[in-house]
Amino acid sequence: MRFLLPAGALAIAGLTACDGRTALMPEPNPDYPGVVDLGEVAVLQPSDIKGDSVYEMATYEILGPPEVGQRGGASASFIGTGGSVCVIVDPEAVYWSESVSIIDNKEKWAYPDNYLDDGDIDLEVGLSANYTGSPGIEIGDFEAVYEDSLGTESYIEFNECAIGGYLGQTDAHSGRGTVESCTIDTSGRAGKEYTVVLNTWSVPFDDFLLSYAFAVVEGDCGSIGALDECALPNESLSETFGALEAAFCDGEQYTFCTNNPTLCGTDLH
Amino acid sequence: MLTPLMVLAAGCTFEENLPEVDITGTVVVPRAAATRTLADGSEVVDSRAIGPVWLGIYPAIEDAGLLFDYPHPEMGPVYQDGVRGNAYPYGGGSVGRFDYACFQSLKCKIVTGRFTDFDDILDYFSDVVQSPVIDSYGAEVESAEYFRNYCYDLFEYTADYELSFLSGFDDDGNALTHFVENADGDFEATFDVYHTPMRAGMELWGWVDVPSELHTFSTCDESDGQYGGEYNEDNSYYGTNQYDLLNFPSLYIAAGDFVSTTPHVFQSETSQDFRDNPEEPTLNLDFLVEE
Repeated sequence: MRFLLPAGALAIAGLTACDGRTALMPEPNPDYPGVVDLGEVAVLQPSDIKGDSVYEMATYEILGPPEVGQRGGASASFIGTGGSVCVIVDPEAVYWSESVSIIDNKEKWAYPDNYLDDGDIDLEVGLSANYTGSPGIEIGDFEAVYEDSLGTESYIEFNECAIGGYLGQTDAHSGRGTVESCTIDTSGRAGKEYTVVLNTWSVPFDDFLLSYAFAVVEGDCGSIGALDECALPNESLSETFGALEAAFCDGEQYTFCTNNPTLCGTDLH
Repeated sequence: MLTPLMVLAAGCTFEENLPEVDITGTVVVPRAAATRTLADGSEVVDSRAIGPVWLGIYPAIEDAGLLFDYPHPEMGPVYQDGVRGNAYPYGGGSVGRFDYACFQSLKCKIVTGRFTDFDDILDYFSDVVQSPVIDSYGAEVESAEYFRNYCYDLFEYTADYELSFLSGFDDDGNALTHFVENADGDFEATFDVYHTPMRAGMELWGWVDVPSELHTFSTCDESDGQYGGEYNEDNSYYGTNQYDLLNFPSLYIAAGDFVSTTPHVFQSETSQDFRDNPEEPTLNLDFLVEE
């Protein structure tokens, strides 16, 4: 009995700790649905996303948190061109790793990133015929079930958005606040409808609203130019974030963070 | 003091009731798969010529003529141009696997469980394949001691038993290679297929990859496997089996290979049934794949 008492106390303490994290479980926001459909988007030309025209041509939207237990995200469709198209999404905001080395500290990365303003979107693309979701109602995927002669089920993946990982795998995704892109080969499928799924992996902790920029561009992703944080600029469409991202793209975030410490992390090394 | 020991002892006998089984059995390879024709037209029967035996557990095996000209596992849907259906195996294993025997000239040519020692390899490639082993300087390897030293230097090993392509001998001097000749003149070996999820009616099937004239194998991928990064070597991958050979057997089965005509159909309903009454299948690889 003397042993059980501390164990019980520990269990209660553990439950209390779990309760404390409910602050990170946001309620749905009626102004920003967690599941949306963007409808059909045009396949842009690479020049459309250069300069200020990107703000008109690309899609800039905001996702709210989904209902608890529901997958959140946005879906969109485009028509296959018969060639390669590049699908790009840039979730807010910017992300970098802080330089913490004592002997070789890099000033450029000395400020920590403000991770509270980062969201994460994972990209999937496939033929609409293979999409299991209901646009605007329920986010789905591109998996089909094959049942063999003994009744055993196997999943067949029809997601064509292959993103390479560090270990050579083709089903990787970028992390928080980081651009994702993939090339979709629509040869032999000109005129066929494709669905893009922007899966909400996480919403920013600061406001639980996930801003993002999204575009479908003609050509192979490798031929469009660097598809990094700066490709679809200022996905938050805010002056302050735009300035931070611009500084990041210029490699000047140390100076920016020094002058605007509230927009960066505070644990400076 | 006894209580903790009793708890530990009970742990050793704990039955996890996993829905999977370990299968042990025997595979029979026909004599023809161990027969090579020499340059002078004579034939030699040699168990070292037996290639890797690939074994898969499948939902069903289709007869010859239905999917291919030889028995083949049932396939899932074909949904990409030029890509065959996946056979979706439940599990699998092999008798022997490709191993890198220190020289590029032996890449994808050495199967574990076929050779006892260095001399065994040198003799086989010199006398049977009639294409001697060549070292990284282009010279013929004639000395087992040189072979050993080269391997020890390459892998930083200190004993032959660390080289898995050498089977060695038991204490009585008997070779520990996989295959032995049976009374019919064919060759038999035992096999293990581990961690197979149990499905009533699942079928064991397989084939032996019979080597080409130069002792190469269609089931080996020279561009994959461990990467050799030695400064004095032709740096490249050491070769390994094709990663999807059980999923797409027909991509790698070629004329001259032997597949099993009659798969073993498992009767056990559950994994526990199998553990209570283990089935020990014998699989005959008796169907010659022709052009």
